[in-house]
Formats: sequence, structure tokens, C-alpha cells
Amino acid sequence: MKKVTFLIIPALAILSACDEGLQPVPFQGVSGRVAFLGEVPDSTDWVRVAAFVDLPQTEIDLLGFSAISNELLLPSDSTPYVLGLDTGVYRWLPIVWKRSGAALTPDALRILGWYTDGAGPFDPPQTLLVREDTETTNADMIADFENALTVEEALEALK
Amino acid sequence: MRWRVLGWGWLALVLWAAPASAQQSGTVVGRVIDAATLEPVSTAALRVIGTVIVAFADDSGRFELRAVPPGLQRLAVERIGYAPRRVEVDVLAGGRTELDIELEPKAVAVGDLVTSVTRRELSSLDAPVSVFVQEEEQIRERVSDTAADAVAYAPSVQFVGNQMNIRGSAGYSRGAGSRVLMLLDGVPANAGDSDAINWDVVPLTEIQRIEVLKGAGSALYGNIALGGVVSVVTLPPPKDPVLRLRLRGGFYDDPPASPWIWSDKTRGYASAEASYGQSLGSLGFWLRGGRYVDDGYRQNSELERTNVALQLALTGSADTLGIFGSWAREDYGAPLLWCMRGECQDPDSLAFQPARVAVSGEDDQTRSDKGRLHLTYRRRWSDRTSTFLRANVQRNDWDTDFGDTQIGAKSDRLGGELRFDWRALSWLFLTAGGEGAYTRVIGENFFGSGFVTQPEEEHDITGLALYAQGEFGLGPWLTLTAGVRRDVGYLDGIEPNDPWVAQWSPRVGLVISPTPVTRIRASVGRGFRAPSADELFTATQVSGFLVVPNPNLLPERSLAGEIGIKQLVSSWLSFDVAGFAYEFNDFIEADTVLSPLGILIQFDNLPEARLAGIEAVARLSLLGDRLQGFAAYTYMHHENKLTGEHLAYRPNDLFTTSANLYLGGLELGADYRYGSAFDRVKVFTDPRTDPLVPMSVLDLRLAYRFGNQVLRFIVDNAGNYAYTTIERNLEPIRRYSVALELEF
Repeated sequence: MKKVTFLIIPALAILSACDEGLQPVPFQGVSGRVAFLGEVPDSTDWVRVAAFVDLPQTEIDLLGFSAISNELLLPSDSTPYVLGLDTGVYRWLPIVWKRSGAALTPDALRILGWYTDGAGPFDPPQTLLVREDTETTNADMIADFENALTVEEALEALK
Repeated sequence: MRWRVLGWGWLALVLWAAPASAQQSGTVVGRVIDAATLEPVSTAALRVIGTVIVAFADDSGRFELRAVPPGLQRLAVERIGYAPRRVEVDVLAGGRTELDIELEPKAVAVGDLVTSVTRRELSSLDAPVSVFVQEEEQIRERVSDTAADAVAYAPSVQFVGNQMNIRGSAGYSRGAGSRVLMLLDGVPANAGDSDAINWDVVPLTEIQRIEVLKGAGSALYGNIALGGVVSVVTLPPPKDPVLRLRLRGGFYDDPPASPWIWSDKTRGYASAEASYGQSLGSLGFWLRGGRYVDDGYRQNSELERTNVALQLALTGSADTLGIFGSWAREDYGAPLLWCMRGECQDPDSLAFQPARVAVSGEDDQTRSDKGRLHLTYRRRWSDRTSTFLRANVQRNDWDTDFGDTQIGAKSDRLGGELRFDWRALSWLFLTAGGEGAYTRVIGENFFGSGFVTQPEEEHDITGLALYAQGEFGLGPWLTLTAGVRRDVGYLDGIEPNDPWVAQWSPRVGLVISPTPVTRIRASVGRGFRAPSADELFTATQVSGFLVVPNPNLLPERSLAGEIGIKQLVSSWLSFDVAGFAYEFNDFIEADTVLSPLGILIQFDNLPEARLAGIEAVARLSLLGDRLQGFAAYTYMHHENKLTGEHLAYRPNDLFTTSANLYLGGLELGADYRYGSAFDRVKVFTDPRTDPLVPMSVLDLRLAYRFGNQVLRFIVDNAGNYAYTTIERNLEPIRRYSVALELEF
């Protein structure tokens, strides 16, 4: 009986660990396309989409982004983007441009547009609701290189 | 299709080879008897070394080994309660050779002979530290791709990515820095730039055994051996000509979840290894070559490997000169991470696709070349004194093409050692020696300072050491081992910091035998490790990872202790239980910071860290030794002592079990590994998109022997269990293999 016990213990351990592996996880967040207006500057380091729960009031608030996308593919007329997010409400999804060769400071950044409730890149921001295990699709935006805003100008526009 | 053709080809080879071997072989018959009582010894296991031929003695001690190759052969004879023996026998071609074998009673479970513990041959039973041994047959039966697969089932061992952890010592650093030293026939074999273990330099077909020494080996081996030592011992050249062929092939199953299936092609692999050995008078040699081609189970994971090796042994009456040279090349896809949503085509809108890679990483490729040459000379001056001399040179050269970035490094390492062994008294054995190594590393877009990467940057690392050890037989029940090592190293390129590092590494151990079936062991020692060139100087930016050098890194130091007991409970069961603890100072770990710039990585010193745990191993032998196996459990506690956080990439629980059932020529086997989910990882920590899951891998084996030949079927990861050990890197999924081993 003792011998059988020594064989059963490893077998039970194996069986108990069988169903804990990786499983497919639905994407949760937002996706869409970013359409570009104007020429992409030679000084471009990257362009990304960020997400903020609240509208930033100061430059410091800009550090409080919830998520930021991978670099968008440039140059092109439009490019897809995806941004994984926690469930909840997001009040600002800006398109952020960074100058190459510069440290990551507000001076090196420009805001090319954001997710809006209108047709213009700088119309009033559209609120985004992210539900559990759900991808909010077709959240399209326009990035305007010609009329890019400084961080200071963007904060002013959001007031 | 090509995999099926290969399978039929092998079957044809089997049918052709079987009668050929039967014609030339001989039979060895005899009895195994107790040397003290001259009574028969039943169920002793007899194995023809260098072959897969085994037999068991019956109740009257009689055995019969069939289809044994003619000529001089060595038999390994083992039985619980007796000292293991190796016996030479001259086998008559087509005839019967009779042989009686006496075994000396030794009232403890069978112990393997090991050399890594004290640098001389010693039973693992009498070792003051934990050591695990994989013998030749155990290595061959797993049909390993590399020697790493053979040690993956050792108790307290876990691979994180391709990085070996003994008792959780290493964590993960993408190969930059290793806390495990590899010895190949006693010669250090870690890479010069990273100190990583290059498993592909080890000739798989002629491994005699692999020893895994757990705990700090710094007192004997110095730098790198902080977490343990893996010692690979190759087979000596045979006296008569031997040709061995090992052919393997198979295919991967689909990933376990249908939305993860990314390829409609059968992903297969195939390999062929050949070796020829012979002795011409006092000169013996092995010549080996191998080729491995693998489609891989995930996107851009194709691998091609080629290796050749030549081993020469010139044996005199009192001395042996050995020369070993090998070269290996690998070309493989090298994606850093799997595909997250938006990085590749994914109609199923999943958060991640574990078998795919981002479009930007589809063509990432790495090439590596590894060459080594070592010379060893052993001379026995008398029954009491001997010397060992070695000289070794090795080159590692790799480069990775990430599309927009090409990085690489070359390293050359020269080493040498002279050691004296002296049995000064019947109860005192002394070992003393010195060794040195010089390494030159050249980084190509890989080293630099700050955020600046240099197209080419060179560093020199020099290490010298003296060591001495004594083994004191203080009575029939007590053996004391005490040793000390002084290491001095010079690291070029860390100025204005002091480029010199130095460390005393003492160790003391004892083994007590309170009863004939019990061994109690204890050891305590200091360990140290100087940072590798990769940890100090890597400055590169690839695929969103930005590695920043840290020339201020300090050497890490440890105080390691262990206490354990081995107990033979009955003729079918033995236990080995050990407790261990490591206290680290200036423990080197990778720090990571997520930023919009990417993932910043820099190696840094944790002021204090702790690893502690218990390890229990039970060995069973049932049904007259026809069912053999072991089960091992390790609990580990690990923490950053300043923050109380667990150390990253380390499980708390490890469980390993393995069993073999021998039914005549048929052999069934199973291996299982479990590792609890890590509490902490370094880079991607969102539990939703980067879930941490346990490791749970079951491998199944079936082998059929006919004469000298073996046909094997293997299913790796039979449960097709999906898991990771490092973030966003899927570990191997289910794979079916067939292997044929031929020996002429």
C-alpha cells in the first residue's frame, strides 16, 4: 500500500496542474485609424496615441497617461493603431509627436490632434468607454502636422 | 511530406541493421555474488557501458547480456546496498563469455561517482554538498536536442528561457551573466562575453555523465560558480572501432488554442549525429559531427545547427594526454517577443498571439560560431601523488540582425590550470592548484557608455586564482572537507572605479555516517562573482529595448550553507532531504523601467538578497528494479532584503518526477516538471495581457531495443501545455519524435 501511495502522489500533482496554462485573452481597448494631414517633418522621432482618464490641466498631468501605443507607421496617408486599456472612461486620446534627438520633455512634444466628437482634429474631445473584454473599434482620428499644437497650446485648447 | 519520407527511411535502416548486428555480437553470462558471504545477489543491474544493453540478475544472481559487441567491453554493475563496480570483459564474437562478479556490501543506496565536488572521483553519497548525476543512458533516453534537456529534470533545476537556474540562483538576464559554471571534462566552457553556458558545444552522443553540483562552488571553481556547477564528462575513446549513428526527427503539434494556429504547414525537425571512435595502440579518438534543422513551433523560430568535435587521448602507463577540439554554428530566428494586438495580422482580436511575432520582428536573425580547443594532461607520479595540467582557448562570435539594427560580439578566452593531488596520509587527501584566464571581448554596436553605443568597443578581463583543499577522514563515521580559494581579477574599462577585484572564498563541509544507511552532510562557504562584460558594458537599443551600461557594478558575494541527510529506508526506497540558504551582497539583477522611449534595462547591485529553501528527493525501485524513478520537491523563499519583495523570475515551488518501466526489450518512461508561477517578472506586469502561469510539462517515452540498436518514440510536452518562463515568449509546445540509435 505504501508503494502505491508513492506512485499516486506524483500522479495527482500532475493532474492538478493541467488546466492552468495560458489561454486566449480577448483584446480590451480601442483601435482605429489615424489619418495624416500635411508632411511628416524630417525631425520626427515617433508618433503615438496616448490615453488619459481625465483632461490634463498642467504639464505635470501629461505624465499621468494611462497607456501609450506603439510607434505609428510613418509616412502614410493613414495608419491603424491599437491601444490596450483597462475598463473605464477615458476623456482624452491625443496623438503625440516627438522630435528626434531630444529628451522626453514637453518642449520636444507636439499634439497633432485627438479623438473628437466632430470632424476636425482639435474639436472637443470625445469620451471613450472601454468595456471588459471588448475592443472599441473605429475610433478614428486625424493628425494634423501643419497645425500641430505645443503642449501649452493643447492644454489651453482643452479648457 | 519530407518528415514522412524520413520516417520510412529510418524504418528501412532498422530492418537492415538488426540482422547485421546479431551476426557479430556475443553473449555474456555469469553470476553476481556478495564478496563477503559469496551468496548470490539478485536484481543487480548490469549495463554494457557505451551501449544501451542492460540486464538484471535473477534470484540466483545469474544474468545474461545478449547481443554484446565483440571485443573488450566495460560493464557497470549496480545494486542497492553494494558499492557500484565497473568490470572489463573480452566478449567472444558469436560465442558465450562467462563472468562472475563480486560486489562489496555497502549498506547505503547506490551512489554515482562524481568528480565536480572535490575535483577527484568520489561517490555522491560521500559528498558534503548536494549533487545530481545524469548517466549516459538517462541522457540518451530523453533524445535531447542539447545537454540542457538532460539536466532540465534535475531536482531544484529550472530553465528560465535558456538560462539555467540551480535553486533559483540565476533568475533571468537574457544570458548576460551566469551563476552556473560549465565544465567540459574539467575545463571551464562558459562564453567569454556573457559567461553564459553554450550548450551546443557539448557533444551529445558521447556524454558519460553530467553532474549538477548545487550551491556555491566558488571555493574550488571561483567566479561564475556562485550558484553551482554543471560538469559534463565525455566517454573515453573505445578500444575497438565503434561507429554510432543517431537519427531523429519529428513534428510539432498545433498550439493548444485554435485561434493561436498561425501556420498551415507541419512544423518539423530532423537531426543526424555520427561518431566514430577507435584506439590505435595508446592513441584513442572520437570524431563526431552533427546537423540539426528545426522549423520551430512559432513564427521565425527556425534553427540550423552544425557541430563537429575531435577528441584524442594518448594513454601511457602513468599519464594521459587529452585534446578536445570542437566547433559549432547556429543560425536561428531571434524574435524578442510574441505579437501583441496590432503588431501582426490577427483576425481574432486577441490581446496577444503567442506563436506569432510582430511584423517588424519577422526577419530578426542570429548567427553564432563557437570554437574551443583544450588540452589536458594527467600524470600519476605514485600511488599517492598526481598532477593535472590544462590549457584551453575558445572563441565565441555572434551577431543579430534586427533589421534596423545589427549587434554582435566576439570574445576570445585563454585559460590554464595546474593542480596537485596528494594523499599525504591514509586519512588526509590534499588538493592544491592555480588557474588563470584572460578574455578579450569586442562589442559591435553592443558596448558603450551612457546612451551612446560605439560601433566597436573592446574590453579585457583577466582572472588569476590559487586554491587548496583538504579532505580529512576523521574516523569511520566522519569526513571533513575544508578549502579556500583566492581570486584576483582585473576589469578593463571601469575606471575611475578600481579595476581590481579580489576575494577569499573559504568553504568547509562534513559528512557524518551515524548508521550504515544514513549520511548527514553540512557545508558552508563564501562565493563571489565578478560582473560579466555584457552586464558592465552593454549599450544597445533594439526592438523597443534600451540597455544602458553600468560600469559601476560591483562584484556580488554570497555566504551559502546547506545541511542534508540521505537515508536508505528500505530496499526499494531512499530519501535525500536538504535545507539550503544563501545570503547575497551586491546581488546583480537587471533593473527595468517602462517609458515612452521603450524598456530601459540596466544591471544594478541589490545591496542584500536572500535565497533559502528545502529540497526533498525520493528514489524508488520496484518490481525487482524494473520500475525505477524519483520524485523531487523544492520549496524556495527568495527576497530583496531591503524591500521584502520576491526576486523576479523565480518560482516558490518546483516538483520533478521521472519513472522508467523496463519490460524485456521494451522501455516506457515519463518525466514531469512543475514550477509554480513566478510572483514577479521585470518587464510586462499587466496580469490581464501578461498572465503568469505555472510550468507543467509532461514528457512520455517509449523505446524498443534490438541488439545494439534502439528505436525510440517521444512526446515532449504531451499535455500541449502553454506557458512562459519569460514574458511574451511561448515555451515549446507538444512535439512528437522518433529516434533511431545505431551502433556498429
